[in-house]
Amino acid sequence: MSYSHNDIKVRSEQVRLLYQAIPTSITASLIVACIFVFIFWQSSIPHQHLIAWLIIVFIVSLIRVFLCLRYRKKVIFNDTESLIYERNFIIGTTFSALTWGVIPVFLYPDDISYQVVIAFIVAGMSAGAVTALSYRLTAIYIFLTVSLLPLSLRFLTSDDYVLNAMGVMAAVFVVLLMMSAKRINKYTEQNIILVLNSDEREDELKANINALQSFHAITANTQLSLDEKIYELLILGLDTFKLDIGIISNINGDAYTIEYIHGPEGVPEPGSVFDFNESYCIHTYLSNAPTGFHHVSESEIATHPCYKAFKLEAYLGSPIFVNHERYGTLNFSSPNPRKNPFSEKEFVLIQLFAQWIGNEMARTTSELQLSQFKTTLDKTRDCVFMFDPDSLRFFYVNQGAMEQVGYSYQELLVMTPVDIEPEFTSEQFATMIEPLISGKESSLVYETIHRHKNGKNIPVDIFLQYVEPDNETPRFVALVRDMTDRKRIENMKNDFVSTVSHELRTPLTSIHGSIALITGGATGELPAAVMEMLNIAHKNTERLLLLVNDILDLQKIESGKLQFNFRYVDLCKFLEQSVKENEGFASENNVSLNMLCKHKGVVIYADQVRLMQVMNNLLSNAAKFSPEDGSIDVDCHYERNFIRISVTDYGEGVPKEFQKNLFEKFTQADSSDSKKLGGSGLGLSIAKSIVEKHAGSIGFSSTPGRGSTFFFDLPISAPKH
Amino acid sequence: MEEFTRILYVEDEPDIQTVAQIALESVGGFQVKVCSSGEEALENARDFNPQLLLLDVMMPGMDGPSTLTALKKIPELSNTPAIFMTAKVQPQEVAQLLTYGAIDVIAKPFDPMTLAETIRKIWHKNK
Repeated sequence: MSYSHNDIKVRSEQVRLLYQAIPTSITASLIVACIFVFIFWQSSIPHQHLIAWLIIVFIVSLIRVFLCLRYRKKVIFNDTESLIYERNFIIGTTFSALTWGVIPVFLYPDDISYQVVIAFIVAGMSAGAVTALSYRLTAIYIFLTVSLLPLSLRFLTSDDYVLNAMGVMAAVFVVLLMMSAKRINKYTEQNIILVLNSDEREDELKANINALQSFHAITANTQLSLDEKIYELLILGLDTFKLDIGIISNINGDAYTIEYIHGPEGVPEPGSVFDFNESYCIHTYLSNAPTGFHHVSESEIATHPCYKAFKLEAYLGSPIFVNHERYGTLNFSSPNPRKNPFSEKEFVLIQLFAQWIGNEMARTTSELQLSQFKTTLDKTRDCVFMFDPDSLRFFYVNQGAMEQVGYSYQELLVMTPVDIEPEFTSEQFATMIEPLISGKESSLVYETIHRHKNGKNIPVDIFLQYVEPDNETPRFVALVRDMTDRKRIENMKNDFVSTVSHELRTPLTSIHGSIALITGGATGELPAAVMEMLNIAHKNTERLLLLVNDILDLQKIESGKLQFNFRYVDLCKFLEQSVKENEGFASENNVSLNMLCKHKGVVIYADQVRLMQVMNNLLSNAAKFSPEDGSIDVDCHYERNFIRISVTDYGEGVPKEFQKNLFEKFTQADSSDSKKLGGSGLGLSIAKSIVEKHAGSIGFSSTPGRGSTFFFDLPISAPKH
Repeated sequence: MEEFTRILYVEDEPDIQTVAQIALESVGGFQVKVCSSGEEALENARDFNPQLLLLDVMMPGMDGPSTLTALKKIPELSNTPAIFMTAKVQPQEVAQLLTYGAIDVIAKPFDPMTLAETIRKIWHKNK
């Protein structure tokens, strides 16, 4: 067992035990002294000698009692005091031993039997002293030597061989007593050490428990900010480790920056920067674990620059890790050395503190980053809705989103997009987002309306994405833009275009009418050259009128001003009629129309007049682009949950470079086409708008040189209106 | 049966007036009384005693429908057929216009060479 640091404590305890035994030993010695005087009263020893001796014994006893009382009055001992008391005790003991030692010198009777009695009494006293004085070997050795040696010498120097033998026995007795005293001393010392150790452990355990309780009280206190918690923790560390200066440092390269510091006046300010290589923390970094020096000047790092600069004797430090990266250190230090090296438990404790600080810092940083991100997202003018792919319930909405639809965060958490997008049924919505989940589409852009809690409809443009972050559950993210303003501007633009177009139409009507009257001969015969020019003018006024009419049509459809008259329509009959209506135009172009539709009795929900406009457009386009004596196929067939109506020609096909913008306004494959083939370039745009009003979609496929198929898909189930 | 010759034509746009007048008089052989507004039509209608009222729809002041309603209140004209001329030819709009008591709607721009023939057909069909 190595408890050298406990020597002084053990010694103090031994002294305490010595003093504890004083009353018993004094009582015993006084009794024995009285008996001695009584026995020897009849001997040859003068009575005055005996009385003087007894008085001396009493005085020595009194002095020792006085010492004992003084000792007992003292409650707390420092180490030096304990040593003084030990010395005093030994002096007292020596005098006590002397009282017995002097007997063979001054109170020695002539009668041999009395001499033997002396031997018994002194030997008995010495044997008794062994138990009381063995706590300190000095005390017992002095006592035995002083009390028994004179007797032994007296016997040895006697002429009587019996007494000589007794003298030898007395000497042997001293040695034997010393040996047993030594053994007793060893046992009591071990015992004391054990008691002290268990006391120490208990104290340490209590200190640890206290430290942990305080630690918990600090970390769990919701009233404290992180900075306050850290300062409380530094104070706790100083208390626990019995040190004076607590620091949290940030170490970056060679720069050692003090982030937090607590200590006596005169310590550096937070923010002070030091050379990392000149701090004890470099050792903490080298070992990458809690590191301590309890007495630097006596350690292997006595020449450390930090010691030279600051004379810090004690240091305990632990690295702080923030997000698995070394951030700096938590360290405590003091200009005073610690008596004992830092214990394993202290290392564990500082490591715990450092871990907590690291975690808090990481959390605060990520919380700060997250809160910045969230604040930004919250404040974004566009509305952000995130919803779960399975339940479709919203799990995040930003401030803008809540304001747009007028529901609170809590209310929205139990709602789905269908609850605020009245244009969709759950099934329609599920169908719409299916390509995103299956990965066929990366994003979806659609226009719809959002219904505010107060019932007001808000036109919106939605950009919907299916996001699958690593290690996180997939989610839908919808960026929703309020289109109210844009719609208003669009409406203004539409109104403007519509007004302008209308205003254009009136003079055009006059021009067109006048020219028609002239070319029709109503104003008389004209030269052929003039007629030719007027024919050109006439043809172009017709084109202009067509264009103006198409623009007005398109504006009306797009602005929703055009009312649709939905009815259930027999698709086959409808297609047959469209073929009949366009046969005239087709035969002008020497093209034949083939009706291939086999699905009799299919009913669609449509505005027949408008949809006929679409058919007319597709058929006239097909006729225009068909070769001489070509044919056009009109067909219909089922595609999943919709029906597809297609018009196929076998002409030149749509050139690749125009395929992309075919449904945009004013798109014609060849700008010379408009002259050759007529048309405003708005026909397909109008057709697209009409089909979309039927909740359908329009498209085409084309192989240049082989022909094109234009089709539109209509839902089989009736759309919501 | 009385021959169909007299048309009261109400149109605010002078150029279109001219074109229509030529189309109806020179091409169609009608006798046309042209009025530039509903008010003017109300002043002249009874004297002219038209066999058909031909009305533009969009006019400043009294528009076509209100002019027709007012003209119909003149006892002599209460049974006179009327035709609207308008650029707006959506089916719903046509239906709306017919509710004012017109017998048909002719789309603008009209073909001046066939206008008279079209009107004559409509008039006879209505008889």
